[in-house]
Amino acid sequence: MTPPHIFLEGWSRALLLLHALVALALAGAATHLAVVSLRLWRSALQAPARARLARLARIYAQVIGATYAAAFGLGLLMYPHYRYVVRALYLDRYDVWAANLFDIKENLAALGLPLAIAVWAVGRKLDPERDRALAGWLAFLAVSIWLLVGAATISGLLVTDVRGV
Amino acid sequence: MSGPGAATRAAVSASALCAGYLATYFVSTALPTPLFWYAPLGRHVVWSVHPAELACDFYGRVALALAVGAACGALAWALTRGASPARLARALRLLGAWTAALLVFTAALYVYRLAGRRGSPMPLPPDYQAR
Repeated sequence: MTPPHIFLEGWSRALLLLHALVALALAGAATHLAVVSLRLWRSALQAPARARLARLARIYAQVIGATYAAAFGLGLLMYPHYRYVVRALYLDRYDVWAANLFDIKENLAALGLPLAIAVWAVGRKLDPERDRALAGWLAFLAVSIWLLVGAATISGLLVTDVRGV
Repeated sequence: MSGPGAATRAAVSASALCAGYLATYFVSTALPTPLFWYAPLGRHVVWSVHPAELACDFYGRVALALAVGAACGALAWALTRGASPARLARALRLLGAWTAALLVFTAALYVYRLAGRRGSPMPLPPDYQAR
């Protein structure tokens, strides 16, 4: 019996490494945006401080837009290999909890995708004086993305520790 | 975006995208919904509620949710043309609340459905070596 040929299976290790590196950058940007947006929303700041934080928020919004799309896209490319070689042949047989945790992580990441699009679309043009009413909305999106990315990162590390490729 | 109304209108549209995407993700999971599935072994796409062969629903579900979300975002953009700042602020609060609720419910649905799932391993190829 010839082993089936899976899409991009020869690139699985390189893709996993790239996915992890991009996810690390995403986790950093998500953490920074959560802190910055909460300060913009909750703190009584002078105009220069607000302008400085808003400039950081615009930068992190763009980084999140780019890294979320990249990490998600790399995950989609790796998924066929994962589904057969990692899950169907190994995790479903020996470590079912890891297969379940991985699918929870993938779906949590998918739920964060529209939030990242919204942050990128609105946050990259944020004006601290003009858009004061949006500070609470941006903080909600930023904290939600941070929670989802944090859960996905920790779950991804745990599953990769069991079997990555 | 130029004025405060334009920025809030963009946020309302983005929130509608989020709510539409999350609602589609929730409904297509909770109810039997036909989707495009990718079969990695045959390397082909199947239109089905649940195909008999090994297949991934992830691509079809995300594509469907993105399409519905984009339609909701475009609709919200069209409907809020000329809306007053107060009306835009109300719409943003409402859609933000819907987004938060749908996010929590959909995440909880996936944790509930997947946490106790039983494995369905496939037969090992003859030359398979578990590392």
